[in-house]
Amino acid sequence: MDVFGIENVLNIITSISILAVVAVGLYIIFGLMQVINMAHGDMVMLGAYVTLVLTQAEFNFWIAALLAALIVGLIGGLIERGVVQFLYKSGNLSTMLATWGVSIMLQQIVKLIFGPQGQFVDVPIMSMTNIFGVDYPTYRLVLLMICIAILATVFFLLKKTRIGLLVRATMDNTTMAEAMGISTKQVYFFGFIGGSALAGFAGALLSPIANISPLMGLDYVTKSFLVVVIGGVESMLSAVGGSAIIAGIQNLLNNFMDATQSWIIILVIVIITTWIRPQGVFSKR
Amino acid sequence: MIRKRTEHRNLLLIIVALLLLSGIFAPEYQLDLLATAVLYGLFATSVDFSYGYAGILNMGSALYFGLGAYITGYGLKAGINPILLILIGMAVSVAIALIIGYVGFRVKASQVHFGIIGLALTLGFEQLTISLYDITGGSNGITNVPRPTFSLFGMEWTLTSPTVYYYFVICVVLLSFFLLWKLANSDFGRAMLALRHDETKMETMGYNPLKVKMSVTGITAAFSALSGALFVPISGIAYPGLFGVTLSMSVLIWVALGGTGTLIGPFILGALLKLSESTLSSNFEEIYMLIIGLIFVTMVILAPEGAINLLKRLIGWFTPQRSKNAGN
Amino acid sequence: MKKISRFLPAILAVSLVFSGCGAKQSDSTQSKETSSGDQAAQSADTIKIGVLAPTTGFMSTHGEVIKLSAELAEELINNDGGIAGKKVKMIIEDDKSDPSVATEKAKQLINKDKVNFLIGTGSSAETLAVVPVAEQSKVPFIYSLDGECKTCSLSDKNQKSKYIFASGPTPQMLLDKFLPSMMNKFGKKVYFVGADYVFPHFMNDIAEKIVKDNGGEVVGSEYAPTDTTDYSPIINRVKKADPDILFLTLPGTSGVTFVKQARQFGIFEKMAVTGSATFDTEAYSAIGQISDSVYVVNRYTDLLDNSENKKFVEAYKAKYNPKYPIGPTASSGTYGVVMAIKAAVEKAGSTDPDKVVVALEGLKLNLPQGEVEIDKENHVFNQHIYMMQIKDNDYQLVEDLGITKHPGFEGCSVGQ
Repeated sequence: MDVFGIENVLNIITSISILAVVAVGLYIIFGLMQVINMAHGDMVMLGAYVTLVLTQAEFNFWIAALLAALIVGLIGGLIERGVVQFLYKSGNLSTMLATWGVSIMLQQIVKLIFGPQGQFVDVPIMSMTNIFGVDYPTYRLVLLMICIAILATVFFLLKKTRIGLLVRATMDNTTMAEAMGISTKQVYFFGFIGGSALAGFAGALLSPIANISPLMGLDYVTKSFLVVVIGGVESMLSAVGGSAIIAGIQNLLNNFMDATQSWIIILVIVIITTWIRPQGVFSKR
Repeated sequence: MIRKRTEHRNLLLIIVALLLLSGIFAPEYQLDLLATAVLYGLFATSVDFSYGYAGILNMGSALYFGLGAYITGYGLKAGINPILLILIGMAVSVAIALIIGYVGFRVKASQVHFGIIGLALTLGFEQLTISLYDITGGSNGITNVPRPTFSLFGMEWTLTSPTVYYYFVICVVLLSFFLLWKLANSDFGRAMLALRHDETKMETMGYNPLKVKMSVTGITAAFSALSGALFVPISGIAYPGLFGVTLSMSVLIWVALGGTGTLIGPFILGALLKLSESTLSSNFEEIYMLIIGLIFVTMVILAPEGAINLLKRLIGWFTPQRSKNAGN
Repeated sequence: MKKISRFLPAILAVSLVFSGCGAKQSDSTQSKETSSGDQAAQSADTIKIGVLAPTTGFMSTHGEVIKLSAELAEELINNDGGIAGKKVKMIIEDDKSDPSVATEKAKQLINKDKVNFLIGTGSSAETLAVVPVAEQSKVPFIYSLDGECKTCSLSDKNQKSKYIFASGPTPQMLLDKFLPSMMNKFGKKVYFVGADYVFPHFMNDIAEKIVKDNGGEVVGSEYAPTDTTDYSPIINRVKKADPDILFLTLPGTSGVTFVKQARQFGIFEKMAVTGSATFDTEAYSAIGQISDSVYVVNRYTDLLDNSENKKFVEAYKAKYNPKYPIGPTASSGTYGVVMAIKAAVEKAGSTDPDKVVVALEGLKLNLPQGEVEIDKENHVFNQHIYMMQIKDNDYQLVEDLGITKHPGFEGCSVGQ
């Protein structure tokens, strides 16, 4: 079996990168504010729907995707200001439930407007590219490159810019950050926007190759939580590493066994990892 | 704290009276619905026991409900004594809870991590249930589950009529609630509360935090399984959805919105929401879920202490204080 | 004062619950337009059909259509003189795609609304939950969707259930002639992919047997969880196996995701893609545009040329103006079923369940889907199966594969 054939490798890294973009968005929100944002998957869903609306209005797909990221980011900001900001002191369960409530509302609103059926967004590039001797869908390659570019940009922003420093400082130690004059309120606000925008952009990119429906977010929120738990929240790389484990191993195992069995194995790996290394595989604390 | 309990006791008595009266006056087809609602209430109370008192969060509580349901469903069709089945379901759930409790607490997993382990576990069981078609009926579930009949204390108990089954459920649920209540108000209960605030103090008091945590998780698992076991003869079917995320999140919502740590708040909210969902959703289908979501969000922000305490707060506003009226 | 204030929370709770009970009674009477007072009088003049439509949950695309079609049927029948002169009333409940809610709503429809008949349900689990309730309450239940046989008795797999009828075709009926026809057209090597739950397993198992029995070769067979978001490993294996036909049983979401991704990998150019439930009208909004030339098999296409269908399609389009093709769930699973009930009641001259059941057995009628005969032995609708091709924004009829029958109670999934 040609498990290490080029197509498989490309499939695996594409899988990982898409999940990583969604998971990094969650990492920012969870790492920053310890908020279990149950509506994060719905940001992916909204990204897909905004893309749907814009492409039907004759917008170019890529412009639609960028706008989707922007709009979903803003929606994330609204959620932060309207709901989440009141609950930072109230504990995990409160934010989890409140965002679950928001998630229900978002799904219902989308269902009321568009109906429950799946929607169609066409792939912007239909061709195949010959890479390393095999034919591979061009769109997927472009997707891969865009995701890597995004991840690199976020990494750069966090590690090398002043804004990134502020975010990391707030993540590390909120009280210290406040004592040093950082407006944690603003950091949270922009963090939520950024994290949601990432998820929205992922949703836009996924819209041609996944089912677009009001309930599509649930799969992504579950997977991204598993990523954050298994990777840890030490840095963005932990989230990427976590994605590599979840998406990568599942995809890899899928070559040897039933998809169902590989999913169960992933869950077992998550449980065991949380036991023996609760801080996450790629985190030290 | 103790004064709250007395107020709650009055509420409890009213509820018991209502439940008994409903059994007499409500039409039979509604008794099945009421029994289901009451079972959801018990499920919520058992989860409140862990979370509201000991602060242990499980994002996959449906695991135990599902186990109780499937074991009972499978066994009733095989003709096994129902009481035995209920006990087996509870035992299996307790065993699993003790195992994850032991490992989870040993490594001092954070509240969130422990919660997510619970979630992963319930997702795994849901998937397993779908895959093992020969045992579990797969996605179709275990269907045509009969109502229980058994002999106990030399008498034949035939719980086929909805009315009789309803009273049976009420008795078991009230008994369970009473047990949980007593536990929460005992020394053990104080130890659980100490878990939230000061573990080291607990140790000096002579309690082993690990043992207390494990007991708490075990107790929750037992009563969640009991709820599931009694649920299945009413629905007539045990299906993978009983293990799912939706039910797990719903029960947490009942706990939080009902009032964590009150035991009775989650019970009432779980039961009431089930009842209202059945009736109102027929009429307001389109926007029903939207309204529910809105209510959750609003309540979590404005009334984090839960519905039952909110109710008391409102009553406090409307009831003039004695001292103020002293002069009149 | 203190004593009373202590009771106040209790009193408030009590009044809330009682008003809830009161609201329950009035809500149900208002919306369903059956006031319990008039029930005795009404049951003489109205025939009530309970409709279990999963308008929320994962089956909602089917549920919405069941609801709309039931309302259309009610309107058309009542405008046309009703059933044996009596008005028909549809009482529609949402079972939320949840089997325990299906049980609950079925009991409510039977005991509170006192419906004469039950139709609907989406997933197999919902159907199986309702079967014992209908059978024990002696209410004829004709379920709307297809899938494995569910009409065997609760005590004996080789006997029929007295009150249960299946309007949809079983896998055996659908594929018996279709697969050999496809193999003649495209070749003998077939790869199977299914969602990992009961229905696709039943479908693909039978399909694989038919392929082998007809000299074909099963070059691959796999299943994936319904919530899979990345099918690339499977698509890769399919490509490598180089089959002539790719047979997909991926209903709903999973099918849409698979098709979107497979198309990118050029699968549609390399082999004939077909399947069951994957390319249903419910998925048309998502993948219709990219499924051009795909062959499918089903009990209905809205392009069927018969007078019943013309009437139905015209009325449906006038009332709902649908953007996408009208599918089997609407026409056969709902409208057709109601028409069958009408014919049976008129033949029996009564709504007595035992008499209606006898009238249904062997009943022959012309429905939008073509001629149908309700099988006496196994209560399955013997019906025409059509081979179609998705083209020009609709399901073009390629061949009428003839009227088919389900063999006994083969594969019945009703639990004993």
